Amino acid sequence: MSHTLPPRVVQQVLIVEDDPAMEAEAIAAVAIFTGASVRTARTIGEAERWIKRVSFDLAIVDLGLPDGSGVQLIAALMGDAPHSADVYAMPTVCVARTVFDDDAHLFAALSAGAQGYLLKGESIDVVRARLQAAMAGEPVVSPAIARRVLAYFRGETRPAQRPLPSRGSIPPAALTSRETDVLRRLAQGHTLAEVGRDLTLSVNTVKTHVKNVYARLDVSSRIAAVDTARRMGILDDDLHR
Amino acid sequence: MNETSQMRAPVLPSVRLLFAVIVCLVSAVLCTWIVRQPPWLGLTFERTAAGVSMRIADVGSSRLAAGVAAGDSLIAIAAPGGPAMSIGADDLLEEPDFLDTWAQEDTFYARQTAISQLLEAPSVALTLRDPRGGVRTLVVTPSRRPISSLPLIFWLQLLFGAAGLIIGAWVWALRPDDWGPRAYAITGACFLIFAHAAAIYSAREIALPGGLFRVLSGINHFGAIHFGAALCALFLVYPLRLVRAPVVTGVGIIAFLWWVACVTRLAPDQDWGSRFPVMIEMLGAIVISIVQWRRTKGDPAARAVLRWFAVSVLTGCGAFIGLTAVVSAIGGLPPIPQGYAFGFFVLMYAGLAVGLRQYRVFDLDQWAYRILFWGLLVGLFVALDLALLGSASSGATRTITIATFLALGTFPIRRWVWGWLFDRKALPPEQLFEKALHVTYAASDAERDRRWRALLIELFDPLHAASDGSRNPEETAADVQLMAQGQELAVPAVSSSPALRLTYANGGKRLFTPADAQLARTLVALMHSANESRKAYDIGVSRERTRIARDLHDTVSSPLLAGLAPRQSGEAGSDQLAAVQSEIRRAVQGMRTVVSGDAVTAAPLADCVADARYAAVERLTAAGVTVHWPIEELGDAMLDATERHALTAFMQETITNVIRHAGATHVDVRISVDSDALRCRITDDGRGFAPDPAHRGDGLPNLRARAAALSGDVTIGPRDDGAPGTTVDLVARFAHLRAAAVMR
Repeated sequence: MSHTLPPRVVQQVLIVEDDPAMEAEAIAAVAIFTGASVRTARTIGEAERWIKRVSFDLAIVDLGLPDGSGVQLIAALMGDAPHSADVYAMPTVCVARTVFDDDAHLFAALSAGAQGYLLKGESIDVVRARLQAAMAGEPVVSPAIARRVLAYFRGETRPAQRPLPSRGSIPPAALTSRETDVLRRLAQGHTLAEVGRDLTLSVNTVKTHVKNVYARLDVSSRIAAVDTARRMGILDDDLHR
Repeated sequence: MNETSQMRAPVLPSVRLLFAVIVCLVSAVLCTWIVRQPPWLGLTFERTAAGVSMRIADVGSSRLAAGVAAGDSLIAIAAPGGPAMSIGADDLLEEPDFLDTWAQEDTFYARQTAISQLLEAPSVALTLRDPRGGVRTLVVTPSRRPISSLPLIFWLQLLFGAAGLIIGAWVWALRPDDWGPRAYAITGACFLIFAHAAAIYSAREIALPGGLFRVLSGINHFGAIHFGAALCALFLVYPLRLVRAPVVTGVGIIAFLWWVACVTRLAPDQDWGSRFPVMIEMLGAIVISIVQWRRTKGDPAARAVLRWFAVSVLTGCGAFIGLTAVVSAIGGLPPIPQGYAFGFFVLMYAGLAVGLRQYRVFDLDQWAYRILFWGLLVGLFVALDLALLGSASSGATRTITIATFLALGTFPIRRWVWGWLFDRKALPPEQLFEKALHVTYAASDAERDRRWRALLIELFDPLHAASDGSRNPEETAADVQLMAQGQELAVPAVSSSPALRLTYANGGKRLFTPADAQLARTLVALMHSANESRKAYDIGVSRERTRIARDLHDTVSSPLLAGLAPRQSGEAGSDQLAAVQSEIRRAVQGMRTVVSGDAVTAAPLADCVADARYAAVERLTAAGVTVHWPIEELGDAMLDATERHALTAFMQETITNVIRHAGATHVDVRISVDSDALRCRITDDGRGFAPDPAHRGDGLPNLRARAAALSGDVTIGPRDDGAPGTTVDLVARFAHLRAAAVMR
């Protein structure tokens, strides 16, 4: 019943990474996308210059950059996708990259619109699998993230409410019972496919549920995402070196 | 002045009440001692119907009474050989107040003195007339009066007086700073004074020395007049404070002056000396209570209190005054002995005790009974001991033996009751704080909510505690509130707990009081501040962790990760390089665990297994190995940080071995928990476990160490079904399961 979309052809890849060794590793990982041209940037400023010129299919963004947090960059890539007169252009798939997989980092990146994340030091097989999953439109939901999202919607970690810049964003609402079912199973360690099978839903429907939930984290705009990151202690002032 | 009063340690209600109990007992002992001073004939006299002569109603067991028959009348008394003094019914008058003029009273006291002096002699000649009219003389020797001969009316008056003082002192002990309870306690003290004074002279056999009699009568008047004044003062200040303090003091001064006029006989007669002031005071109390009634209009609670209070006070006092003071003022004698009529006053104290709970008189409630009960029990025990002591001192060996046996035999019971009476069960403030912290630092919100409810139930023992959540949040109380006249206590939302509504304190046996509300308010404030500090702590921890993460990133992880940079394949020693890179990956993973805080916090077993499953499935799938790992119900077992780390590492290393060494295509994982152990079995279809020393060197001891951290054992061997492959079995009995086993 599930009709998976054909994998997207990857032509333009952006790697934002300040550590040369890690940059090399990322370049090695994206070699699976044969024929793609790969650009690299060491800072947010550099990356922003690339974004203005090129429409990327995939961006691998380090969260700890010398001139700011990668969360900002992801929000920029997702939010005000620039330019293009090409109405058929698909939004960039962003994958966050970090050393520390604490929930605060990942949650901020995911709510900013990242499709997936990579942990530095993971085996290249896992990295490649994640990149392919991201390109197939599969949101990353580890049990830890699912637990945190559930907690967020239970109001346990809800930050102080403040009016969001109006982008027609849906006000934060409670999870539907279906969404809660999905997240609970993911929190127990089930994969997206297993959740679909258990709940007799298509995998795509499960993915949609997860993306809907992420979209309702009320941090979908760039400003809100940065705000959230700051509240979660990622964007300490001295990180903005 | 103020400073000194603040320096003084506050007096506990129990101490105040105990003080009143002791005053009662001392007064009773004193009365009993005084009443036993006059020499005793061993006879019980009665005023005859004609009212002219006294009659011997009952012959005491005393040997003095040999030769006296019940029904004889005493007509005269004399020193042997001396002139006879005739005895009349007036000499048996219970209360000198029944006489109208000072002259009558003087005559009465003079005769009392004369009779007393005759009785002081070693022997007395009694002139008796039998019912048939025969007159004879009997010489007897008066003796010391035994306690057992004291009449019921004596003990009743002691008891009534004690009841008044103790109930008055009870409300004062609990509300010492309020004017109402103060005035009420003064009425109780005055009641004790006049009842106990009257008890002495009303229980005399025939006579007391006139001087003593007059002093006792003066004390009786003092009590009576000030009782009425205190009653007026009571209605002047309760339920509403009608006048300022000087007016209340003024009432007391007027009463005192009037009493001085009475005892110094400045007043023209008994009517003016003692009857009119008491009646005026009674009328005053009625008038003031009517004023109170008007002033409490629109305050139904105060009116309810007033109605009950006025009815019980005015009925009790009114009945007595109507029966004694009014009857004697119009020249009659009360239809029942005054000693029994004192029982009417007890009505007003009993009325308070009964109405207290329903009307919350003086802002008191059922809880107040507990201390009254306590005080009465203490008093009862001391009184019992005094009685035993009294009977033992009376001399008879048998009595002494019985008393000793009673004292010794009841010793264990007494010790138990004593322990119970003085056992302190109230929660001291520091424990309250400790309990609030215990609630705040619960591991989960659900647990926090559970502990909060448990604490409220422990403190207030309500019949019913329900969350207020169904109601509109706007309507739920922001502060602790007494609802429905104390039937309910509304507690606002605290931390993760919703607003609660507690119904009927103490399992439905009492209402909530302002004191309960205050306690709950304190507790809520305590919870809020504890919550704030917990949040601040969490934020501090999270900031610190961020800082450490940043430092580690800058100083440790970057150089480490540099070692992971891809090299040209075929480079020399690439096997060794792969091994080093694998170690680097492990080091980075360990760093992650430390920074994430997982290394220091406990977590549910189910969460750890979920994380392990997710990681394993991802890694195995990426390596082209299929996985079958059914998710089992794992209950609510918790792992501490060490166990959690051990389980995570155990799974990681096992999966690493499968990927790296087994050459498997499929892995089967089962993790289950039963009553005594966590069982984990990982089966692959690879080339099988080779006891290859090269691999054994690092893998197996590592897994053993992990299993040991989980208080478990690991076995590695070929598959049970004989198919190629390896089975890794872990049986762990970690701390939580052991604790649960102990509970069973």
